[in-house]
Amino acid sequence: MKRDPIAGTRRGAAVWALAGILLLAFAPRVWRRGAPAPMFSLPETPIDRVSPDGAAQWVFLSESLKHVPRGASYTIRAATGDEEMNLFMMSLGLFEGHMPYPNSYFGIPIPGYAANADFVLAYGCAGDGAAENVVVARVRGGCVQRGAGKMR
Amino acid sequence: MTAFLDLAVSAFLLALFGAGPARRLCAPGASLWGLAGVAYGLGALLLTVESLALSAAGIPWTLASMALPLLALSGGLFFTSGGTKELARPAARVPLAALLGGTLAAAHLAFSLASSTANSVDFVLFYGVKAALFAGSRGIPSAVMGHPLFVHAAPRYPPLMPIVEAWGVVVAGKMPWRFAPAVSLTWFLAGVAAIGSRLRGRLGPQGGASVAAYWACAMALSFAWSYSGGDGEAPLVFYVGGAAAWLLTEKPGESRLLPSLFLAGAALSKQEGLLAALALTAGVLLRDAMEKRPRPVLRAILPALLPVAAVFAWFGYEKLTGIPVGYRPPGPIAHMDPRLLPSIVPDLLRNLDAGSLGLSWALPLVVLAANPKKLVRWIPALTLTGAVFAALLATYTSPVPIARSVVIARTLPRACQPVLSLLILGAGVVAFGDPRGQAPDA
Repeated sequence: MKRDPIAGTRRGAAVWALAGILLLAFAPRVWRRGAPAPMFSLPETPIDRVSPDGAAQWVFLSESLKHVPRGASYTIRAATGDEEMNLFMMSLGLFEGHMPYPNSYFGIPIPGYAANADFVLAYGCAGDGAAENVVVARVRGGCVQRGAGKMR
Repeated sequence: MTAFLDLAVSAFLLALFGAGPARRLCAPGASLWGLAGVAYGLGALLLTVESLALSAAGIPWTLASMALPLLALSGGLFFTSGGTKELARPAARVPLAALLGGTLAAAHLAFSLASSTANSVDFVLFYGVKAALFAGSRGIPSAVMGHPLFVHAAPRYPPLMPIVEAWGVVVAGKMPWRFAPAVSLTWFLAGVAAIGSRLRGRLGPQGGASVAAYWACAMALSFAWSYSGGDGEAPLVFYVGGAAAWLLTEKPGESRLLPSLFLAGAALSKQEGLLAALALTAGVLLRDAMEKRPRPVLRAILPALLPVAAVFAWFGYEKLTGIPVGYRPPGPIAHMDPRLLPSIVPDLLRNLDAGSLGLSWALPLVVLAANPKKLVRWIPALTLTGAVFAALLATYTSPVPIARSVVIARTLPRACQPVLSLLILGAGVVAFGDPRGQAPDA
């Protein structure tokens, strides 16, 4: 007996579509991974769930931004070179319209460069020899200090 | 809510920019949603070319300077004769299971992006940073791009996604950081619409819709699993998948301008886009030669040429504006050590998870195994698979700066997405396609 080609196509099509739907049974693996958070909560940063450390740095930068006027220059200090680099990389987008003076680049110190900054963003209120710097604001994750730049 | 509206408006305008060319280039019978999906991709490509030209000429990027020339071009093409005159009448409804699969896939990706579990860290380090800088500078700031303290942001990398994201910032007036990675969802939806419409037209309404639904489910899982939100993966998969959907189902002699433009888009989306474009074209050439289709070499020129031209246009822009020219050369491949292969195989397999414990690969591979006589139809997908995995193996067996397993985990889940996409499309063509791709449009 000859097979009905249309019926065969329908069966084949149904197999493909149902196989796709079955694959979606794995979707909750994505929802549950990363930093714990309520299922239907909106994240505070773009990377809350994928990088909790990065998210904390993001919160620090975005709160610091409120205390650094547009056009001002800034530098970032942190306890480790990795943190400083990550903060610097993220800050270039958030602090668009400001002038960055990185304190280090990929962990390599840039001597004298940061001294030109109007503001020091001290992650975890870290700093070296910054005792003379006035704290402008304490924000989540650190402090915003006056730097030695010309904008005073 | 405002951010959602901004995203919708910027996406709608992108689709308008590409509406005229899409109407000209799509075969008669394309659906409205299919045209919209194609138009989105073409609009993004045109916007990228135009933005580079504006930036090179020193004309600031504004809503008017970016939108008006493209609207004029698109309108001119749309309202002049040629191309798709009529939209497809809904000859057969999309099967309920396919509709359900596509809807659930989109919902999964949307939820994963909204909750940030699918977002790429690269978005806050590179892509979004460049987009904010471009929009704030009203162009590509060459002084920043060429600065030695900006090398971490990969300034030489293809510019399409940062420009599309910068376009969203120009429309919105500011960068909606938390919401912006959702732009990957619009690329996904555009891909489902464009590819789905093409497959329905060429593989039949039942089979085409179901293959598109499977593609949607597998790619939504993979995008979310591989942290692709906001980076260049979604446009790369859109363009490579779109080009493949057209090339794998083409009728003899059919124009290849649209898939060639898609391949140019792929080359401007990610560095590996050029490799994918050339590998796919080589596969199509081989298929045509084996099937004794007319003029296989001549017909391969356009899809090979346009992506190369797109990359050289970007390099030309770099040269013109003082940005370091060319891509960063790959690592010291001369020091490849094939003896490492056995030790990296477990990491390779583990990272082909695709968000489904690897099951997304199963159906296309079963179809391949069950249809050895139709292997020739698969060749374009297989050449791309071979090229991508050869490049990855070369990388993974070369000296790497950090643990090899970490390098594989960070790169393979994303790098294998165009391969998965093409294997699915190739399997769909084998399962439902006419032996020589001559099935009439539905």
